[in-house]
Amino acid sequence: MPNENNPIEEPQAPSPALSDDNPFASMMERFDEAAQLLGLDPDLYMLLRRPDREFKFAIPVQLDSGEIEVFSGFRIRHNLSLGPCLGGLRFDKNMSRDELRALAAWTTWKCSALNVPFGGSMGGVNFEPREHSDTVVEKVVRRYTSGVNDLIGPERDILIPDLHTNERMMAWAMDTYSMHARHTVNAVVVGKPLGLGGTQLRNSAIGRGVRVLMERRLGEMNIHDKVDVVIQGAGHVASQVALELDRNGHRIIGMGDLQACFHNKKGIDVAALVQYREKHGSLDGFAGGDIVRDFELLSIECDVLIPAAASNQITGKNADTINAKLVVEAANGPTTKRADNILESRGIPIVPDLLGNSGSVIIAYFEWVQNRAGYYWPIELVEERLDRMIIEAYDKARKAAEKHKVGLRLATCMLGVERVAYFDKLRGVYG
Amino acid sequence: MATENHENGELNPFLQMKKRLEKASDLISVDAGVYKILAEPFQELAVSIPVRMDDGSLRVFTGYRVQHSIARGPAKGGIRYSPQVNLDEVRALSAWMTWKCAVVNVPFGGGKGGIICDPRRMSQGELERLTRRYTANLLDIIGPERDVPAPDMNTNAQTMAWFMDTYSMHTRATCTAAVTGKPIGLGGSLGRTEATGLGVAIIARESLKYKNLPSEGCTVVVQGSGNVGGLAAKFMHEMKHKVIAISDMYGGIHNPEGLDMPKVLDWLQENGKLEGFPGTTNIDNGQLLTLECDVLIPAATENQITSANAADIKAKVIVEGANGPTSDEADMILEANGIFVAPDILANAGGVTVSYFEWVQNRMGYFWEEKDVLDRMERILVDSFNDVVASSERHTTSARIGAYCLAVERVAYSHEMRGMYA
Repeated sequence: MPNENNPIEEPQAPSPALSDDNPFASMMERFDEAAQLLGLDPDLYMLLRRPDREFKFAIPVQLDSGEIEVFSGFRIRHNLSLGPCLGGLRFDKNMSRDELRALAAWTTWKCSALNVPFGGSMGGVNFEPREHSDTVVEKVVRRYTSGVNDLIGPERDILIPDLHTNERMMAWAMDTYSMHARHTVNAVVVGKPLGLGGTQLRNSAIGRGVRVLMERRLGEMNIHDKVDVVIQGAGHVASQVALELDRNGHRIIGMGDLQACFHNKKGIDVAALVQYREKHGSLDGFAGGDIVRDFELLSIECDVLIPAAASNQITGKNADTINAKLVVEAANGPTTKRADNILESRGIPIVPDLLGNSGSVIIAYFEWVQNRAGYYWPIELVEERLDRMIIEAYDKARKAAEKHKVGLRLATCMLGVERVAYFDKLRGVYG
Repeated sequence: MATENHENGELNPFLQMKKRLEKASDLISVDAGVYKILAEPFQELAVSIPVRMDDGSLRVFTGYRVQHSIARGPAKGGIRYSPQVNLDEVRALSAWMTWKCAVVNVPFGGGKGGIICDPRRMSQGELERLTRRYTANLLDIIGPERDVPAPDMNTNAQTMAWFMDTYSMHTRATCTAAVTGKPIGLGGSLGRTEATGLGVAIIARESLKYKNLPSEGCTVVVQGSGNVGGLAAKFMHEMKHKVIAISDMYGGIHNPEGLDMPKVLDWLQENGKLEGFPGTTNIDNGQLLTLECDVLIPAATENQITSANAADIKAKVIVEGANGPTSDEADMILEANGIFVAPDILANAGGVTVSYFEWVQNRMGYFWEEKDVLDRMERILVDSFNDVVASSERHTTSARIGAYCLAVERVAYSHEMRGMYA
């Protein structure tokens, strides 16, 4: 039977079980909690809990063998009361519709909390790009873009790279949309290469945001010196965080991913580590510190711990062993709800992901603004504006946390939900 | 895939559609890649529809629009309002529309839409707001050159007028061709009300001729007495056949001597149900389907003739007025028993044919007389009937699979000629 709360019932995609360790379920749980604390109007609650619309379409592609394969493309739009939607394009064989729904909603709250005039969306293709040639990947990107051509656009829904998509693919998406529009439209996609509408700071905005927030939070704790930091992860996000902190005099004493983790009390040579990984594709064999097991990395004694890899890393099982004064989340959903409670009772503050990795959304917004203006900002201006937006959002969230007597994570979420609800109500119901 | 979890495959319309597609594709050796394209919808949109209810509260409904294929032209298909609407059903119905339009060779693909709601518990104002917001949410994918909706279960000419108005307000110009089944005078076509029922009767006539049965005096049983069943029965009566039983949602009436159909329909109009029509005995649905007769016209709902009752069917010819009344499993039993089945995608295609005429008249802004409309429809249906039986003979298969072969061939041809974009 169709479930009215579930805009698309997809019989084969069982909803993720509501467990503590399911990041998407906990996202929605947090929304529910925020809505309840805000005393959200039941009508608005019902409206905000569901995506505005969900689009699924066939992506027929001729493979290099000549054979035709048909992939499924999705685009889910959660809310557009603040402006056009912003949402990832991911390639993932195993993605579920629930995951896309949650990510779309999450982007809505995030943009709203950061005062970025976007709603949230999310999309993807059940496709594994590493199994195919560049030609086939390009065909999939182009066919995806023409499939969503009527739904996306600079004023409607903007694509941003996500899992297994990159700036090259964004350039293809921009090109396809532009060919349909008969003129170059670069604001339809963000995360583009520099010179094709990309912005300064596009590869270091998340890192910069993490540092700015970390220093602000430490300042409130009366720690003004340079600090010792452990970073979990070694990918795109972790590297830019490490490089940014390193450049600013902080010491990375632990870093690594599932392949290899390192501990060095004197500080890891971050530039060498990033270079090594780029060259070898993995940290295996890197000699820059003592090798530790991946689960040991999180419990290294340090000032600041920055999870910058996957979700569900700090859980009820290891939260007791965390040996940091502060946690700043650069990954999405690295801390489970149970771990949240443990860290809170241990007096370890967390800068939540909504703020911690907000650099990505803000830099996306700046790219869109510059594309619309057709005028590009020098890097100093991008930096200054990024810092200001992040700090404003952080300060507002701190105030909200005090006012509602809740943690910073929930306060940020409440901030996001409150603004969307307010503007939804002002705009009223069309039709 | 989308449907594997459904417990009873025989009752899952999407799986039923796929089975037939598979059989036809095998017979005509469709390219494996094109088969993959045809087996899943081209695109589907699910929308949240917030509606301010009369009591001031806000309700959020769920609506769908599925476009199975646009290879031969704009998608075409109805919009239904019902608590039972679900995505798999909408998918199946949209695919059926693709095959149906291809069988009668009108330049449309297939689409279908629906809203999960209970229209009987909603006021006109609520239904209007629901329809308008649904239309607005579909704007990016509909239009006279993209996807043209029509009435279906629990929607009517008024619904289509709201739909057309909302579309037109957004495009800043009256666009009647955005939807069919509109009221006469607002772009509607003469003859549309009768089209499906008359079409069923025409296909019944051709089927009898094909099976060398008499052109009058045959006994006819009709399940359903709405716009399709009631009118088909009336036209069969006018062709001097003997309608011996007919039913509505409450049950059926039976008279072996034949029913005076115009009077039966008047009675139904006055009393709201068939029961009690003088000179008849009441029978239930199960008995009705297995009555001794020449022609059986299931014109009510899906899944009426299944493996459970197919062996008991005594009719010589079945003409499917409803969509999907017979399961694939039942088909094999009927075929083994030598019963000729004129399949839904041919038998009830009169409706979509006149919808096509409505769209044509809207595009040119010139309207045909009723006789023109119905004559042109008859010609298309008779030609299509001949195409279908020729196809079934060529592939030595049933009329249903013959019809699928014909349709799939036409759609696959479009795909092959158009090639692969991007």
